[in-house]
Amino acid sequence: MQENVKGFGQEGALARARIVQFNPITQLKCKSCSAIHTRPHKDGDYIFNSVEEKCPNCGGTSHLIIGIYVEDQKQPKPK
Amino acid sequence: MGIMFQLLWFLFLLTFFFIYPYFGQRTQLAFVLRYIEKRLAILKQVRDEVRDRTISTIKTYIEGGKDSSSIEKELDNLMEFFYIAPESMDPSGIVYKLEHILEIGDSRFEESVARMAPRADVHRVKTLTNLVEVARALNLIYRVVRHYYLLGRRTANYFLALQIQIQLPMIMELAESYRQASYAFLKGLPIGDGIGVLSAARFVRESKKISETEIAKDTWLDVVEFEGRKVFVVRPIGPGGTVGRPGEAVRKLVYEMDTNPDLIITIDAALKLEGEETGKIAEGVGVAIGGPGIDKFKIETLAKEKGVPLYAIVIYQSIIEAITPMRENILKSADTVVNRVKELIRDKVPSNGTAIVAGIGNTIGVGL
Ligand SMILES: [Zn+2]
Repeated sequence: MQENVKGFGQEGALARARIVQFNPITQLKCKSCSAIHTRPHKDGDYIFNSVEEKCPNCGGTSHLIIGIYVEDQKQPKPK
Repeated sequence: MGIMFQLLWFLFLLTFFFIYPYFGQRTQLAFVLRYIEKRLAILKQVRDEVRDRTISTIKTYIEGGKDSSSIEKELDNLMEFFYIAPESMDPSGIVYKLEHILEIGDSRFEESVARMAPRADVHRVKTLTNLVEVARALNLIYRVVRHYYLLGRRTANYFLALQIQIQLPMIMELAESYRQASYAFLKGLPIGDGIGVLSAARFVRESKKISETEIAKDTWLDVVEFEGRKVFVVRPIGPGGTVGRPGEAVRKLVYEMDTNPDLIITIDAALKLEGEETGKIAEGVGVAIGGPGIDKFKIETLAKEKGVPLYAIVIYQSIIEAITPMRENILKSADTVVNRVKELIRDKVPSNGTAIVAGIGNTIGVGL
């Protein structure tokens, strides 16, 4: 069984299955000026968590995470 | 010479006519089996990949110096874990029996994961439990496909093999989405299914909060005031991966806390049809809760008894989008959903009335 299942040109199919790469993005809202900006997701981020980060707009230091998402991308065709 | 050739040709045709039905099906069977075999290999790789990923994630939460072979053994046990559905010959009360069985299963999973990963906090344990459940689902898919493949091959039965071949494209898509889901559960990212919870949370944040409490296991209740109306918002407690007990929460609200709602709104993700756009919002009546149907049953029963109108708002997405990291289009729909909820409340609830809003879905990556 194991022998039969191995090595049947699966490399091609698997390579296709592996192209999906997520680049999650975190959306932050500044608590002092309400500006919304985005940055790559960091471990430990979750929606409605408060994080201490400098605001590029007003220099404030406190942000609320209002969204985490991945950009829409084409799904690989079902095999 | 000519006659000789004709005779040979005739004999050839005759033989072919008699062996074709057998030979043809044999050939087809070989093709079908090869088709399944290739995908079975992929299913096995996907399962092993997710298993390894689960083990290495859990290992980051063990206490130093503890050996990890026991974790692999425990995980393999959980991957073979099964639920036996209650007997339906006498269906009265079956919902509560099913609830009981599922609750035992859930706590078994959570306890095992908490034991395997003692350094993980409450939320992390729930998320890791989701990851183990994904590994279990992939193991089940692999085992079932392998069963039909081997059965078809052993009995040389074309139709047995054909049955699984017909379904394989959908099965492969499901396996692929579970594979991608494992990534979300690993990182604690919100998934498409969480949009109902997120919308309910946004509604709470935009209204005036009166009180809050944990109303049922893993389920949070916010009482808010919205334009003179009292709104009870029920949703699972995040950011760990859990769906909470919305049915139980609404039952408590109505029977134990004597809330007399004028309206119950459920917000949930729903499966879109092929060709439809992701993030489309639709409104309807009924209870929008997926899963085994326990929460749906409880809310429907009390709504019937008390004569409460049931409204539902759903956000369409594919099965892949529902269990993988949240897409931009789905996130964007949250604001529109909140507006639809507000409109519904203004429209259906008298200005001093009461409404229940339930955000349904997996709350992974979405805090309170
Ligand atoms: Zn700012």
